[in-house]
Amino acid sequence: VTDADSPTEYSISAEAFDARYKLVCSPVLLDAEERATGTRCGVSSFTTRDQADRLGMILHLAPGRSLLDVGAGAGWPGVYLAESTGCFVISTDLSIEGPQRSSQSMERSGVAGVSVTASGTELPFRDDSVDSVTCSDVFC
Amino acid sequence: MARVLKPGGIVSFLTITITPGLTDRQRRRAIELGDPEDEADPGYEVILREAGFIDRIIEDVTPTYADTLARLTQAWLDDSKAIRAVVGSEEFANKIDRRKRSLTGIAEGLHQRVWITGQTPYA
Repeated sequence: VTDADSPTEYSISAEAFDARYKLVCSPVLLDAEERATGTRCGVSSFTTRDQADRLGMILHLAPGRSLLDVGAGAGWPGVYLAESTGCFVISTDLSIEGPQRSSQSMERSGVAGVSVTASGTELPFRDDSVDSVTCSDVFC
Repeated sequence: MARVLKPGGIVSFLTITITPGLTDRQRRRAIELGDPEDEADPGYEVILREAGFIDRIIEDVTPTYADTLARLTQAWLDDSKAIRAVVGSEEFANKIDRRKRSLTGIAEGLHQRVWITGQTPYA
């Protein structure tokens, strides 16, 4: 999936996010994240575990329901929500590295889901196809 | 995002913005202190309403954001030697500086984190 209007800008952004996700998933930064927030997911937003749990309730997540997590980076909080609620997660990010990490997390957790490299403004999904959508600190 | 939601689907997301209703001077200060989303007029309530969302809720969750940001900053400072070795001294210094400026922006009431929820109508 590419941003046809600005391919150069897209590439630069994607590379920057690739580098960022590699860093946040390094052991020393995962240690810092765990000490600060109690999570160890390569979190690149400020959504806490309590807030993620509340998201699951607000979005009525459960087996048989789908969640689209836009700009999910390495998979927080979508993969966690799929694991805790049994929903199907579609994790998207502009980068290549983020969805790869997210996919690995899904495999490790045994959750049902897919990871896709895609721009949030050009989502490659059909109209009326998901039950819920979330994103964390993507617009800032 | 509204396009892909089924009828009755729910969107719920969190974002960091410049506090609405600031003076021009305060807005300049807010931008100096960080790069939060500059919430476009007329704001999320109107944007969601015009996009057809019902049951709209906008909640200020800035205190939790400030707490998380402060904890992450302190965690980096507590392990600065090891983290510098991974990210580089320049990036480490930039990150700490950005986080401290964001904390100042929050303390001065210029930055906020909001939680926005809406539902698409049932067909």
